[in-house]
Amino acid sequence: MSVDINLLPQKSRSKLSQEQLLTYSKIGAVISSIVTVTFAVVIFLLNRDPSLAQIQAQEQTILSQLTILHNKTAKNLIILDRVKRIEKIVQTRKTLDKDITSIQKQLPENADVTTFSLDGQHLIMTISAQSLFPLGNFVESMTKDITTKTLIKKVTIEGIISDEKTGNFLLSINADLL
Amino acid sequence: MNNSKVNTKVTLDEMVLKSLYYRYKDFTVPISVIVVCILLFLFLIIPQIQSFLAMKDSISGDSQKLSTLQQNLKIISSFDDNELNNYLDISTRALPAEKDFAGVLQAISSSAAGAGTILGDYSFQIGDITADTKSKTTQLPLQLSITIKGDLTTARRFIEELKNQLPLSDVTSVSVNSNGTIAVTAIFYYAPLPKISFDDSIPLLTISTKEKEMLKLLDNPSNPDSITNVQASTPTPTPFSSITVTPTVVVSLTPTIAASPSGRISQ
Repeated sequence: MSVDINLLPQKSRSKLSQEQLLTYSKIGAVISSIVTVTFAVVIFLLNRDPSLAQIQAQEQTILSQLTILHNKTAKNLIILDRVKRIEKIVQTRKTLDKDITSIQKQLPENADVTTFSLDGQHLIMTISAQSLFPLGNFVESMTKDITTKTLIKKVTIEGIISDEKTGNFLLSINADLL
Repeated sequence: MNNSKVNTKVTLDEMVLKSLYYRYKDFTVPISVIVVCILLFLFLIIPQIQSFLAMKDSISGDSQKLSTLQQNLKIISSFDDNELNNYLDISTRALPAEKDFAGVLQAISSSAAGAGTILGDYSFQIGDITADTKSKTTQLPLQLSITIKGDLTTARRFIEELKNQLPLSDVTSVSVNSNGTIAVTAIFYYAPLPKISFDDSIPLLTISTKEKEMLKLLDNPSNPDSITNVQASTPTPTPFSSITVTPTVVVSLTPTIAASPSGRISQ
C-alpha cells in the first residue's frame, strides 16, 4: 500500500504559494521604494555641496591677484633659467689656471719656461736650464704626477737640446692631461 | 500522442486575458513599483552617483590647484622687488641674452689690468649671424682670441681674473711664446631668453640659497655677501615689455686698452 498519497487538493497548495509570492512582492516593492527614495534624497543633498563653487570662486580671485604679479613671476622664471645655465657653464668650464699652478709647482727654481701651450687636454712645453739636473728633476716630478694621477696622464719627451750659444739645455715635452 | 500535441497550442483570447488578469491582479501594483524603482535607480540614481563622484574628483583637483595657487601667491608676494632686480641683473650680465661685445671687452680689459699686463690684439669669431638664435635653447659660444704680454704667471693671473669677470667665459687654450706674448682663446657665453608661459597652477620654483650665493659670488668674487646695486644704462631686450631688465653694459675701456689694441671683429 502506498503511503505517499497527497490528500490536499492541488488548487489549495498553489493558492498558498501565490499568497506568499504576493507578500514577498509587496515587501520587495516597499523596500525598493524606500531604497530608491533614500538614495535619491541623499544624492540630491550631496550634490548640493557648495564647496566646489566656493573653491572655484577662490581660484578666480587668486588668479586675478597672480595676473597682477606676472611681472615678478617672469623675472623669477628668467632668473631660474639663467641660473640653471650658469651652473652648467661653471661646472663644465676648464680650469687652466689651476693646471698652470700645478705645473708651476713642479717646475724647478733654476729652470725657465721657454714655450708653453695648454688646451685642457694637451700640454706642450719647453723648459730651459743651465744644467741637466733641473730638467731631470722636472721629468721625475712629471712621472710622479702620472703615478698620483693628479694632472697628467701621459708624458712624451720630444727632445733634449743643448744650445751652445747660450749654454742652456732645452727640454721639450708633450703631455696628455687627465 | 496526436492529442497532446494539439493541447500545447495556446490561444490568447479575451477570456484567457481576463482570467489571467483576475488571477494576478494583486501583483500588479507591487511589481510596477519594483520596476519603476529599478528604472529610477538605473536612469536617475546611478547617473547622479556618477555625477557626485565626478564632483568629488573635481573638488579634490580644484582644492589641490587652489593650494598651489595660494602657495604661488605667497611665494611671489614674498619676493623683494629690489632683490629680484639685482639677481636678474647679475644673471643677465653673467649670461647675456645676446652677444654682449661691450661686456666682453670690459671683462678682458679688467682682467688684463688685474693681471698687470698689456692687452694686445684681439679678435672675435662671431659665427653665423643669420642663424636664428631666438629658437636655440642652449647657451651659445662667442669665441675670442686675445694676445697679452707676459710670462706663464701673467697668463695664469689673466685666466684667474677672467674667471671672475662677467659675462661668463671659459678659457679653452693658452700659449706662452718665447717672445713674451701670450695667446689666449676664450669663449664667452650668451643664451636667448626663454619663452615664458604663465601657468599659475604649476608650483612656482624659486632660486635656492645656494644659487643665490653663487650669483652673489659671480657679482662680487671678493665679497660674496654684498650685492652691488648696478646702475642701468641700457636695458636688455626681454620678451616682456613690462619687465625692466637693467643689466650693466658700461663701455669704459681702460687707458691701456684704449691706447694699444687693434681689435677687430671678424666673421
